[in-house]
Amino acid sequence: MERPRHPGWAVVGSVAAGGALGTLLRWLLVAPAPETGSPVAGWISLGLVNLSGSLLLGLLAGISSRRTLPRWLVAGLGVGVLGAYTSLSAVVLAASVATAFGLTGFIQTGSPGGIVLMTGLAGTLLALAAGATLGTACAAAGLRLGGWSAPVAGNSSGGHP
Amino acid sequence: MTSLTMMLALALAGAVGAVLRLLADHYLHPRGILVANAIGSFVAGLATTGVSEPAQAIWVVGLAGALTTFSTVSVSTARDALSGRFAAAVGSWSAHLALALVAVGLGLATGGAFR
Repeated sequence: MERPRHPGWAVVGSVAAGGALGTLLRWLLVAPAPETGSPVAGWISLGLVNLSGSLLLGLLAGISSRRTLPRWLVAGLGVGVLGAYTSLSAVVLAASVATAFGLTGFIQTGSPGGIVLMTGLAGTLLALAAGATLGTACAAAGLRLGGWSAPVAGNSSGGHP
Repeated sequence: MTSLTMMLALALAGAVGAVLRLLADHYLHPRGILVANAIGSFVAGLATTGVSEPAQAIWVVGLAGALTTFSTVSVSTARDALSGRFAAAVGSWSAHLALALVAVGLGLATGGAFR
């Protein structure tokens, strides 16, 4: 189980190319949304990007658990394209900024009241928990579709790509 | 900045972010993705308050967006859940989300202070 000293240049190159592609895809799908005015549209498109990416990465992991695919191909698609296509910082940043706006409004006007603020914070945390649960569910569906089967007990260390 | 220059800059930043995440996962396994998500979230917060557009998008959408990942966490927690390790799945998501939230908050505060 000793890891090689270096991931290998073919893997690094394909991850770089895949990362560029995944980033552009996410930018094209998500970035234009906030300018259309509705913050909800931004949340939905970011959610769809992250959930579709989770499903596809699950599918890739499922397929590559059964077939021997070139390492550079799996890394380029998985770590590169799908890893960069989905983003945790975008989700957490959007959640923090939404909460910070509520907090600023509360400090400046004092009017929304503590209950509104607490509801906003609880809503943000609930949305993050829902997103995480859906992400896991989509990835599990992808793994199953790809033919992944859980390792038998006692062999739980296997299966990492 | 023309939209072609913008796309090239985003692609380059995305390539760098993805390779940094690959190296973190490779050399810091099994905590590399958690480290990448935390550092990427800090960078996203830092650039949001500390850098103005259009460079902000290159840091936030390009570098931080590609350095952090959602799908990798989904798949590793799905493996846990499908193997019956539900507590591990919940613990893993909690660690990623909590660290990322703290990191983005620290970044937003730091970027605002240096602006």
